[in-house]
Amino acid sequence: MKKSKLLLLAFLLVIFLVPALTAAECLLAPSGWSVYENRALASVPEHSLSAVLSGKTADGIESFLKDHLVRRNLWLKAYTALELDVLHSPVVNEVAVTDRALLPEMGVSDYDDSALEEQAAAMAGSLAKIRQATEENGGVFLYVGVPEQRSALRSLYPGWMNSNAAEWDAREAAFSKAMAQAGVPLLLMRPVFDGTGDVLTYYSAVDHHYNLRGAYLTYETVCRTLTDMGVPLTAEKMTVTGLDNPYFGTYSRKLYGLSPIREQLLVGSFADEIPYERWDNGERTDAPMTELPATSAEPVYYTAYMEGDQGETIVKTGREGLPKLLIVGDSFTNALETMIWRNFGEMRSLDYRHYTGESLSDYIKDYQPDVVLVMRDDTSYLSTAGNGGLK
Amino acid sequence: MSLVSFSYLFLFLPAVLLVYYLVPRRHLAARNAVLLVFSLGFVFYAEPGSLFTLVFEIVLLYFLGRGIEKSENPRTRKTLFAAGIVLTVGLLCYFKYTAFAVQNWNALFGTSFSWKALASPVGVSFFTFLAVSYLADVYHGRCAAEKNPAALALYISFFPKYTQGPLTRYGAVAPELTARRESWDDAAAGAERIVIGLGKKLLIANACASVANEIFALSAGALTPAKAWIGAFCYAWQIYFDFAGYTDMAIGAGLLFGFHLPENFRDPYMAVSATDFWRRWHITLSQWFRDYVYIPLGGNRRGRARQLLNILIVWLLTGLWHGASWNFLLWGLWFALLLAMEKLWLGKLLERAPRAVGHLYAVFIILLGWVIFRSPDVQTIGTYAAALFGGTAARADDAGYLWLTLRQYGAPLLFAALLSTPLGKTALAALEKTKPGRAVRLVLLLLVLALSLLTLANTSMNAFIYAQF
Repeated sequence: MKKSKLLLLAFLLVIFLVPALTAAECLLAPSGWSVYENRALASVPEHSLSAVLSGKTADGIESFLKDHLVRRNLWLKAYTALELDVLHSPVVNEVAVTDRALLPEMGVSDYDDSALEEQAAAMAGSLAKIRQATEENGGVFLYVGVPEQRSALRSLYPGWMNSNAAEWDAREAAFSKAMAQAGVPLLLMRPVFDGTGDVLTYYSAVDHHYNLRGAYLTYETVCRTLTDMGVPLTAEKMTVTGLDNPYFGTYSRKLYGLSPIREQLLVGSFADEIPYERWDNGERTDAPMTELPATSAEPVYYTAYMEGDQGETIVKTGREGLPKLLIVGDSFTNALETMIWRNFGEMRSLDYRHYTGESLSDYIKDYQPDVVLVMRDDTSYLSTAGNGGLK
Repeated sequence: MSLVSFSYLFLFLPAVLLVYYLVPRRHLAARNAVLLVFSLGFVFYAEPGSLFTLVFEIVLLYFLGRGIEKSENPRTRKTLFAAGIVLTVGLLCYFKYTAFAVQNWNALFGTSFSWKALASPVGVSFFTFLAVSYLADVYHGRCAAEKNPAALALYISFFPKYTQGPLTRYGAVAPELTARRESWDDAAAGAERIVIGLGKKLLIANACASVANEIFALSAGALTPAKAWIGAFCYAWQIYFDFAGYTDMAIGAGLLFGFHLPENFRDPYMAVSATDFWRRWHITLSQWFRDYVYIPLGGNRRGRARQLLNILIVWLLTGLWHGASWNFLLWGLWFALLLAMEKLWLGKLLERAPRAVGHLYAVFIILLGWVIFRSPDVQTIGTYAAALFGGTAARADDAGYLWLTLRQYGAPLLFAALLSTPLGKTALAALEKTKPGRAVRLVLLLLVLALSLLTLANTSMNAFIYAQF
């Protein structure tokens, strides 16, 4: 049967024009960075003999073509718009799109209570050793557990979509019990946030972190808890303002700027300035605690706080009479650090996902901090990766 | 290189088309040379080491084929044929089954032999079967040995069918290697098959895979009966549209160069029995086993007992061909049992029953078969099968899950269900009969192309299931 030549023509046009236009764009307007994904695009594939023979070049070509496809953002946006506006998919690019927040798709809950208890006991055991090392060096140890956005805003998932709430609760229960049994001080922030009656005020609707108000509430609560533990601290008053810049959170950027929910990145200011010196990963830096964009059009990310994740940050204020703080954890510490450093003569922060120096026990021995805060989100309580493998 | 990749669609295919059609039509040998160079490049790009095994096999095949044909001594012919089979199948066993054999030997006899498995050459299961059929056909005089090594090399390595078939016979392809006429009609039909294949893979199979992958990864504590059935259906659709999509793309690419590759599927989920299913599913593989294993073993000519033994051998080998693992062996055994039962008594019963009963029976046994096929180990087969029939203590949250699945994947799942019947083909054929129908058909196919390309740009889950075999 005779077939239409128009489809053949369209097909040939696509397979010849796309690579030609891609090549032209690569030559005339090369791009190395994806704003929405906040990542570097694939570079020109390695083409040494060993790379060719190992198949690395072939993999590199595929990644390069995919990343540098002509008008790539347009393709990605068109697909996202189709899912969002035409198909009205409840989950778009792995993001559950709800009326009030963008949340990660959770899949089917699959966990085992007894396995959680075993993992919790092991985790509490290793944290007890860190507490012991802290106290042997004259300090106070506190573990701060903050809910991740998906856990904090669990009630925003539609009723027919799994929010994983049962699993987060089971994890938290197993962890709290094990920490109590091991005698490790634990501050759980979830009841504190729930107690406000409006968790969304403290959490980003488009990112997996809390917002600056959430960080501030955590700061206040940590100060009160440490005061109760014998380290008197008072939270400083902070004024919060929102930036007009487009804010790309973990989930809104997955929607390539088509998020139906908009949000501002919050920045804080204090009544008085405290001079400080800062080192990131051993290098002296003049970076501010919160990086402000040069223009109001520039996109901003959660990485504005403390310049994002750093292996080691040292902030010295020269106020010798104040206590020394060591804070260990994932990116949730970044926003907290922008305020809590003000209460200490020196603050150091470690992120073992990036820090490759000595173990935490050895670090404590060398640094002799007055306060050690380990801070993790509730989805990571039992994870031994990165900051969960403290020794 | 996957046929659904940027490298293939936007680099390899336009390049080979361009160079191929720059060579004047009268120089068919030169056009074949272009296809051969690109095909070998395709293999090298997929996995450089595979090229060496492939070239070794082609050289071996060429000389053995010529030797078998030239020799007038039956004993020499037989020796050469046997040597060819041992070497080609031996190579397949070495790459694919040695680690499995050592592992089971150790488990059985408590030994601790170690085996550093080499990566299997890409397409080894397929080119080995092409080699065996070529040698057998030359030996039995069903086709002449190829005198031109480049033609033989192109037959084995032709890129559209290299990694996943369809399995061709040399006798059927040889005439097109030496005398074919590419036409606009063939090219248009080829482009259409490629577009349909892209749609099957990217729009349907991948959506079904998202559901199936999540469900098959669940532990016994989370696998409810409803989820288990949804997972089984979704995997059945995934593997069909994945493999059928590839086959469409392979046949389509063949047509662009004037080759007519055989069909591999004929609405397999419309089968009314296991026997019928295997006449509709992976047709070229079933035919290969029938012609090169079942019939040489005696087929049904040596009594019922021998026939049943032959069925068992064929289906254990079919299972093993898919992979060196117990689940594939059990899958083969499952179909051997069903086919044996159908030969003995069930087949007659099904023939007398209403057709719907046959359909239900076939769908049921095919789904159970896919559960065995998809499970990574024997324990999972047991857990999953138990969940299908209610033997699970899983916490149930099925209403919400079902609603989410329907809202998220409703359209592709509906198309999967509809296109598992002859409806799609019938509708497309009906549209072709009138002018407005042809316009609608064109718009539909262009829409499939556009949606497929958008999906391709936005996903990375594009490996084909059968590429691993």
